[in-house]
Amino acid sequence: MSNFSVSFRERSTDGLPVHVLDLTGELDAHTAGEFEAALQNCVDAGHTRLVVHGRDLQYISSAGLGVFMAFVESIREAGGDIKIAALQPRVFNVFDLLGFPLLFQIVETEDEAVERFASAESA
Amino acid sequence: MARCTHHLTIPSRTSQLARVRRCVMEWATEAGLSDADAQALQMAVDEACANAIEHAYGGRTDGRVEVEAMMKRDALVVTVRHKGEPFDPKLHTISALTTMRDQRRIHGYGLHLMQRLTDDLRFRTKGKTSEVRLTKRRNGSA
Repeated sequence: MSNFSVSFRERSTDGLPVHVLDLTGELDAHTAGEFEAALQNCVDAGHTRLVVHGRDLQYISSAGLGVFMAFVESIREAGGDIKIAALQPRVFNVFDLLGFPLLFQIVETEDEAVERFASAESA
Repeated sequence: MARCTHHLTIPSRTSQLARVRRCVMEWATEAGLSDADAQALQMAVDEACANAIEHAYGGRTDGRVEVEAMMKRDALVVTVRHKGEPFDPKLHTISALTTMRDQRRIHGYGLHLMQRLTDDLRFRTKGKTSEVRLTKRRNGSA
């Protein structure tokens, strides 16, 4: 039985939608496929301004990190981005160990992540 | 003197990884590792088992992965064994992290995590059995 789930919410900033993916549980080699499918659904629906909210994400392995990596380039080429918010210290540490903060905007709150899309538009 | 303290055998299915993580955390806590060191070892073992299941057995679910913990005076040593395709680190160049990130690689980060989260990491193949030995010292700095 999977101990991982993804749910979706829609917000907006500057009149444009931002889609928030709430991750819950443990993202590992077994559950990475669910996260991959969730991101693929977003891309298929044309949603490319994405915030991954990690407050309830308790664990991430390299398989989970690989999913971020698999989508980030195509999403940016489509004019969007994946921003990451509210990670627990243990999970942030894994991103940090591999230098992923150099590639992804990782911020403390969901609001901050959403606002980054507005500031990116106006930059 | 080292002694085998715990042993777990799982089928080669990724659904078993959560069970492995739970066991390693219990063993590490029992061995007196700090929470941070126990979590580091737990993750490194998870990566070793995932590699065995996904790469060594290549999706076959009829293989077995053995996880064994040895308590030493100053460390906990966890050995992951399998009889799938052997991994010989001498035949593989572990790419630099910067290169992997620049090329947006999807795979290969597990080895880096294993190296960074343990105090000693060794690979060995003997006959049909391949093993990864992961050592975490008490109060280690990794």
